[in-house]
Amino acid sequence: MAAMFATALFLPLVVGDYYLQFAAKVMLLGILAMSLNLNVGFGGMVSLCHAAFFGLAGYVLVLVTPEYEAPNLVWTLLVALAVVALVAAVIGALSLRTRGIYFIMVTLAFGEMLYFLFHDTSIGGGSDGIFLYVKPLLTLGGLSIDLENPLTFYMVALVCCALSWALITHLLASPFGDSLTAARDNERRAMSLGIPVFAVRLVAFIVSAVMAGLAGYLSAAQFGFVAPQMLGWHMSAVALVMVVLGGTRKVAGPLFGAVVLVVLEDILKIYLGEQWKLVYGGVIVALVLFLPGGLQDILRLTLPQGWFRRTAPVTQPIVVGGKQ
Amino acid sequence: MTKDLLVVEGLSKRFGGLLAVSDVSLRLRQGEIHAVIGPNGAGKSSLINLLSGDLSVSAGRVLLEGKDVTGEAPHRRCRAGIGRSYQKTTIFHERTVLDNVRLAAQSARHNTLAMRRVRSVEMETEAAALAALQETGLADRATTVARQMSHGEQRQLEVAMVLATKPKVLLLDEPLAGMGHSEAKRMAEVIRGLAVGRGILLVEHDMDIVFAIADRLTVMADGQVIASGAVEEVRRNAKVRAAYLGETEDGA
Repeated sequence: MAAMFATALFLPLVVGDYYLQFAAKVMLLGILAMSLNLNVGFGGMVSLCHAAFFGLAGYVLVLVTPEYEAPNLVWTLLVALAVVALVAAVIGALSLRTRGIYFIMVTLAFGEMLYFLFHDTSIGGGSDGIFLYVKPLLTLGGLSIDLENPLTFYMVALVCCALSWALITHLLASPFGDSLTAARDNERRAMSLGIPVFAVRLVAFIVSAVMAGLAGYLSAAQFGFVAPQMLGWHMSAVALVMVVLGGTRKVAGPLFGAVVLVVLEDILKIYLGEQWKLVYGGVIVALVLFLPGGLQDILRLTLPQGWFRRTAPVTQPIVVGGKQ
Repeated sequence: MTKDLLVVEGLSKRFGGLLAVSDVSLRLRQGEIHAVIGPNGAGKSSLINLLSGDLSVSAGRVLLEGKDVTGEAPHRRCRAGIGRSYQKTTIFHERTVLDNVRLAAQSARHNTLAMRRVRSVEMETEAAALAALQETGLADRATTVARQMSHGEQRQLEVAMVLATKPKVLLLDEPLAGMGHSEAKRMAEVIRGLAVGRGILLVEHDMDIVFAIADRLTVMADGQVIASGAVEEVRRNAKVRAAYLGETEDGA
């Protein structure tokens, strides 16, 4: 993975601004999907309010930005992530009292609450959304990072994406990761071995929400616009499809899920126009049918035995039962 | 002098109209194996679940070395020194034997929320895990993936995991369930060895083994204790014979 991120550093040499912006968008969605998978794949918590954290961070950026002045990258980002962490702590503390399908329903409900908070009130321009006229800027001595510049933005997105991957990988290798996956595999046993399951899950939920917030912040900065759709359950479901498509047992899996999904959408839109969703749905159904373990199955099916270390057979990609 | 590790006073559990465990009191001393036997549905497993915190208590108290742990959550009781095994094997099947035990050793004694590995902690965990494997006779199976082992070995691992949490009290729920005769005998020896310096509450169906290794015996029926005491004494108890063999008491 590190090599792939390094290769991606050279992308600006080969492609133009349009594709750089496209690649940056894919990476931001990749961060969202990878962060969601920390909950879904490694925590066994299928959350349907992840887009709410994504969108919330975007809204916070726009709302704290003075109208005609470039917002400071560092402090607007910190404020956005702090707000997301706080909201995630509240939502997590309440919804983690439930398991399995009930957890999905409760997170869905909280996600929709945030959606309608922005949709039906004038806090953020109602259903029309609001524009961000000036993009965040960071000036440190002579060095300045201006997100207006596509190349700079691409680099920032790439670094954030790589850092998110590295952070999740690191967390999973730590005792915290052991606790999280143990609680996923057998909650009762994890408790009887001394793991405070609720606390572990809550921390994972908050960490993953903050990462989704980072992606949302950058996304708002990229498009200069936020709308309630960013927070809705539809967006959460798209992220979940990326996760399932990419495979839940590998940290980077959902990132590839994001790449495939967004590229597929773009290609189909070009060639099929209005009817693109018809084929899009069919392709996703086919992928799920033939690659139940996600895209990593392609590797396993094509590479010779032994090239691809199979850590665990993926018989049940997502645990929705909770109780055994 | 032996001391009381676990004291249970008037413990009851009510499920709606059913009194699953009714006013149970018992003491578990250090170095002692205290077996709890009884017919199916007598409340033995419920008793273990009450002691481990998997079930909440309706009435009564549980004291660990004099400290009241009645209201504590399962993970806190584990950290306080009450370790339990399950009747249905609940190991982590996709992990190796060593990983299973290491997880137990790490979870019970160190910061489960730690976001980085600390060398000294890792070494301590590793040592505790290996010691637990040694004690249960699984040392040569350390690198095997848990689900590839025989049922008997999985039962051994179940106990090894409890042991790795450094418990003072072990609650073993039918550790010999489904084992072959020779496996069961070996396991019984292991359990006998575990009692040194610890206290063991053993729920078991295999009477031969219970009589062979237990120091004290409590017999339950319909959620109540019908007899408790030294093994030989309880064996001769008329009520116990009635419950087990269907022999009628005089006048009853």
